[in-house]
Amino acid sequence: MHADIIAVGGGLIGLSTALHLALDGKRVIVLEKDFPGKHASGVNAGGVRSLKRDLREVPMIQGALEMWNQMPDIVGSDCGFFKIGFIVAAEDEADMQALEKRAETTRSLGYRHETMIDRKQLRELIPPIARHCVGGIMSDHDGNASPAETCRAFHATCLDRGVTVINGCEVLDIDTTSRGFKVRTSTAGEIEAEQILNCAGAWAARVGEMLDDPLPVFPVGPSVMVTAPMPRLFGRHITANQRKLWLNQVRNGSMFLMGGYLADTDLDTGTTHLRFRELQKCARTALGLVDALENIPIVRAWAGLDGNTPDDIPIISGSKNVPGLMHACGFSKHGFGLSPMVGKVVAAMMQGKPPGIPMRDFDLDRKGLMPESRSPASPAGIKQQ
Amino acid sequence: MPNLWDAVVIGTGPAGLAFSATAAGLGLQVLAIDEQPSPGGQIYRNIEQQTGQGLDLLGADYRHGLGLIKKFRDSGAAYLPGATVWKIEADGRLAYSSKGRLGEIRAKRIIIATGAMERPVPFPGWTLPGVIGVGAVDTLYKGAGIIPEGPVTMLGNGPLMLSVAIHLAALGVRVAHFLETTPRFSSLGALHLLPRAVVSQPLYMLKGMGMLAKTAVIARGVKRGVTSYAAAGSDQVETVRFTCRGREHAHDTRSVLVHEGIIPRSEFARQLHLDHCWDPVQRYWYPRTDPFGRTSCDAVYVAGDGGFVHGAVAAEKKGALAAIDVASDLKGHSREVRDEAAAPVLRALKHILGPRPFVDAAYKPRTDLYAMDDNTLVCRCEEITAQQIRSAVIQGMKTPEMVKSVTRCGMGPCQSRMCSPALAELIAAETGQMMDEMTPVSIRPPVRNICVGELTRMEFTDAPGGN
Repeated sequence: MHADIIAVGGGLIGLSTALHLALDGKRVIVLEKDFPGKHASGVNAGGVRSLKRDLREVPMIQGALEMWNQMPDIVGSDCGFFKIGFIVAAEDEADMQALEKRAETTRSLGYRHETMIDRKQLRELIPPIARHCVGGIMSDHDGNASPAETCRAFHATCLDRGVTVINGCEVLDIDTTSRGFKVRTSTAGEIEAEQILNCAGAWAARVGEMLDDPLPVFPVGPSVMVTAPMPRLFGRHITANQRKLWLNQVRNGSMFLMGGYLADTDLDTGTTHLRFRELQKCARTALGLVDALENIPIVRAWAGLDGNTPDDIPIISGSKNVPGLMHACGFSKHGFGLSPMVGKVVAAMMQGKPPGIPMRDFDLDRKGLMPESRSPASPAGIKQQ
Repeated sequence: MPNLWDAVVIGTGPAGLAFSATAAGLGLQVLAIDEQPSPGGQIYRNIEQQTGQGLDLLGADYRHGLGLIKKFRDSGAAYLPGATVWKIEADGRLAYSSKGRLGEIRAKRIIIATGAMERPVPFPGWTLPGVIGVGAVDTLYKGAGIIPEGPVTMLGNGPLMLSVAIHLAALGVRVAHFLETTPRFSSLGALHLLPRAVVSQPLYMLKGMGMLAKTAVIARGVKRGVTSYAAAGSDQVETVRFTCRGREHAHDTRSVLVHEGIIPRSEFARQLHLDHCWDPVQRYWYPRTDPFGRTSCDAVYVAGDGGFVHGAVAAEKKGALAAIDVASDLKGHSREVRDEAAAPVLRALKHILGPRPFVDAAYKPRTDLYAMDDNTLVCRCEEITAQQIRSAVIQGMKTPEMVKSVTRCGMGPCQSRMCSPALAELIAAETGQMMDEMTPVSIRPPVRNICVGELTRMEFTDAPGGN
């Protein structure tokens, strides 16, 4: 088999890039060792948020939000996306000042989506929020989508557009050839391609290793707890400035409690193992902000498997060692909302076209990604935040 | 409570009781933990609180539990009633909730003795008030003296139908229709197994004949070979419709008691990802174990009907076998010593199981158990229909796990307890896969709901690297 481009990983980054490449007439094969959405892409909490996002990612999430609003045109499904709005509460005046500063900065960059709210507005929007909160910052165009439906829709649209998606197919090794790459797979034999896209999520460093291109991406298992459906407690997704927390009440009334509390991960089996001490921290953090959660039953908990970088910012960059190899990985627990835009940008970059937004902060050569000069990060080093 | 138990058994039905009494008798520090306020499980539920009249009504099989519970009470095994286990770990830790507090304990061995449950089979109207499991009725009158509103319709397949019909009649509830979905010729198909059944346990088989005869006298409107059925009503079941030998029937009814057999309760086995096998006769998954109940996870045993549905008397023996193996293992005894202790129990178990192949084949579930129409609700929690599952399969989702991820089937508060057999069977039918090629959807802890506030106050054991 032969393709222009092989994407290693059938998560949303791979599918969305493959879709844009196919729209440009490229022959793309996506190799997925399980099925689309099995890991981080399909089992995250579905947040599509610009608020509290690293400033380096703001142009990308703005582009993504435009796309989320046009999903029916892109993949024939709204992907369950709906605007709900996010709020970061300030628990004291120092928080308030920090949030005001953030709002000023985003305004100075030309964005108008973040607005300050005072104590009274906060209380009106989130009646059960802790009494000591003094105000907050809000973004009303943020939203929530269904990860499973998003994966399904991108997968189906890829197939419609002629992308070959091979599920249950593991990449065993990759060699460079005179014309590009030769990929040896578990179920589809050898496949040749001119370019490789490494979008293997938690496994991205392993794909890099196959081409002697070390990547500072390590696996993480961010966990989520879900409550039984409850009458609406609040109409926005909320957190507080200093809390490691997101509290989302989704459409059916279930609440999601999360905040980067990590499970154990096992890349060999592709599984996560919940750590209830971590979930307890999450529950305490949540209860400190909304004490009405006290008697609400948790019906389910799970953890996905994602790839994290040392600076919590993704790597979207051509390889510095291997021509024709592109990395789009290390989304560090917050890639879902970005993914439609990442696909568009990466597809452009792989064809030598301008990406349309500044990408240098996602380059492998950026400061802070590799503390020492180009050495691989410890592969098993799970960073606890 | 000790920080580390030799063995913790979940459930105090016949398997859990026998395990505890035997293991404590062999010198182990044993804790039996159970959701109910008193021992007995489903079969001997509430037996210590029954009056003489209640005991008489429920008969000698029920009364048998008294002796078992006395042995348990006298054995020195510790007992934690009213506690729900919601997570077990391969390293021997168990998390439980009791009276609003969450705790964690450790054991060298964990014995899952959580028994069986009625096979949940979706059909139109199965969520209507007044539609209830035959086994659930049994539990309600044993536990709380609650009886269903008559006249009732009994509907389904399996020996439990007979004993509950007899009990209901004794309680004065009129069984107006007794509709059997047992395939019409399954008894004929099982005939070759009959001689062994009769030879091994003539009394048991006689008792069965007696129950059949008694049911025929008590129950009105007996129909065999019912193939599909539906309950209808506005906010309570009012009518039951069914097909019998190609003819449609409809009756008014106040209650529909339905039963399509009994399957092992599998939530902990699935939470631990234990290896499973598929039984093609009774059509259920059961955890793979050795003759002593040891699973694919070394520290974890399954005893009783949770391992394979053989009934209460067999469960008792299986509990004892697990205890003998655990004790010999923890005390470092040789295989020979263990096997000598186990031999009489294994012999007794073999004798008890004599009629089982005949009974299982005679009451095997009908083949069209899950041939439901598109509108039938499969997942009650998330309100997912058969049509949604079928269309996910058409879109390429070929495993229960994949269909679950796309449809949300099995993601609700019951954690797929009620829909997982139907989900897998629907996918198998749609894709032509064999059931033994499939894996049931996994269950993640908490297996039972816990409150956010309770979790904030949970006390953990100090296991190395504990989570």
